[in-house]
Amino acid sequence: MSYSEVMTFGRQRARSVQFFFLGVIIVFGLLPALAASSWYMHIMIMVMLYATLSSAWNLLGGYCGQFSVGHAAFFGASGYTMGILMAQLNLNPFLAALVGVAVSGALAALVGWSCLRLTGIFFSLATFALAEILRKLALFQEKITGGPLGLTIAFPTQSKLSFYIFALALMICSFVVVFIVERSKFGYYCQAVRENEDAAKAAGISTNKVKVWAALISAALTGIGGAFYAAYIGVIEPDVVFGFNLSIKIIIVTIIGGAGTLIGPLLGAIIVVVPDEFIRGWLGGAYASWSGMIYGAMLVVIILVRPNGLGAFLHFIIPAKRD
Amino acid sequence: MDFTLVVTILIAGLLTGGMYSLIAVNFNFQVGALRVVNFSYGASLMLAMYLVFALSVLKLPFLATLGLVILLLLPCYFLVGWLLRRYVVFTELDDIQILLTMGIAIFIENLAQAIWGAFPRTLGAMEKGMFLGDIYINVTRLEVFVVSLILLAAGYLFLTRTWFGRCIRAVVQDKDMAAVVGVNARRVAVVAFGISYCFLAIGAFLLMMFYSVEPHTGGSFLTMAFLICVLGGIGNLAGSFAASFVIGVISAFVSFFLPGYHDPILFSAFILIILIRPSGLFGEA
Repeated sequence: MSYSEVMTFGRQRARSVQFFFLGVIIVFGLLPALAASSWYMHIMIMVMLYATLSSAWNLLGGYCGQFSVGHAAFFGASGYTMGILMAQLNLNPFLAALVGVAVSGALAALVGWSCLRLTGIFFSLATFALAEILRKLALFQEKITGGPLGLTIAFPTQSKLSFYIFALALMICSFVVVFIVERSKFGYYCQAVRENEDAAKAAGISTNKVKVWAALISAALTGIGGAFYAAYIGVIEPDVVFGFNLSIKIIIVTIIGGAGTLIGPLLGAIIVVVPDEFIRGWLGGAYASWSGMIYGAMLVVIILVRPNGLGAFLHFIIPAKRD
Repeated sequence: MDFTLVVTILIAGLLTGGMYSLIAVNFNFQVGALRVVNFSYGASLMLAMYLVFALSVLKLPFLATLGLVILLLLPCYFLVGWLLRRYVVFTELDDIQILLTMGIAIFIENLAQAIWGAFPRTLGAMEKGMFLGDIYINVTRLEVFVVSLILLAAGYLFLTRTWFGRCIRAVVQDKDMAAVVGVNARRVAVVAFGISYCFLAIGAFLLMMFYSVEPHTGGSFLTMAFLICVLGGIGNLAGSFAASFVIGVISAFVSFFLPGYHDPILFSAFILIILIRPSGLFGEA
């Protein structure tokens, strides 16, 4: 049972995808009207953020089969770049965010270049080390990054609704990107690289180019998510935004929902993030580690029982159209 | 830069290297012999360190504490070992392995945080030191160093001189051929895994002599073990033994002259090493 075999499950087809998009827009569009309390709005924002991050990871890890365990590097790099530029140079927040995303992209180009040579577990290790390097740099360069206490970001608007709308736009944007990639030639190239790199190469696919592009798109999306998080939460700490826990949480969300599927990330985000935020909200931040324990256990169970994720269930509920 | 300073740092580095060697060789044993890239290794080490801390309240004698730690860790190792044996050992090195061991790692890390909180814990013992002329030697680390070396020597003798050790090496070399001559490869793997975790518990005990432990401790030791492992060659135990001293000395110099850049520099070196010599390192010992 190899992972790539597992991920060929549950490919979405055109009709159900259209319904899916429509459903997502209607449901999430109406929710702020229903959820009067800003607490519920916060949960929905986090769900949408994680759906975005997980979609981004899905492009590289799920479709292209390059198993990054350091996506926090892109997330944090963009958030920190934005924060530092705003604090040191008084840059316009949106411009700073844009630079942050660009930095994430540059980092991804580096990582993409490294994936040309590294395969399998070595690629995972390299991404893991990258996130750790950035975390330690952020921890010890206190003058610039604020050290372990983190960096405060004073974003001009603090209205929950505008953040909500932005998160929704972000999530839909990421779904559209994944949708386009999935049905494009590039997407098929990605999947070919995942299934069998040598065969893909033999078929004339420039596998190096495919991998770099997948890493770039994925990191840019993650970077946007990171900048959004920095603006929304207002404080970024090295252990949170560069933490191993974040990288893993993104992967868990994807795996639980179903890697290599369009709908998986959203499903996974709802299953993982909602209970997580409730635990934090009801029991307080001190109990956050309990939710960490739960999602660690969840990952183990899902991998053992249903490695293709829950997205594959939906595949049976919504019958696939063959094209 | 004067001579005594350099020698002092050099000795400190070698002592640190000796301590790393126990952890890294043990890790490399898991990777090379059992074909398990165990992401939960660091977390298990951290949990064992916490157990040493928790048991230190009882003020038991040295060996009793060690025995209790090993005993208390048994269920945890049993679970990890069972999962790995059932789903991972001797399968291909693929992503399921990473995910499974990472899930376990996250679980253990958060468990430790839930029980003991996020701030660092120590045994509170003062480190002993002495001066040889102008050269400072940390005696606590020297003791740990000697014990590590004895343990590694014992492990080496076990692998080369005993029947079971030979079985393990036979399974590593060719598990089908080993099966033909009557070695139960799976059983050997399980016992080897158990032995490796006993070494880990002892390693944790030694580390607690002068280290503090917090939930993230495991991650840095894991990365260190990876670094030493790739530098010395994966599956090559003697290589990683030598590499741990190289890393120990580099680590001592970097943390003296560029404090704060210690991990970034070493981890960048790690990335560079795997870039220069990628998957080829996955050869047999």
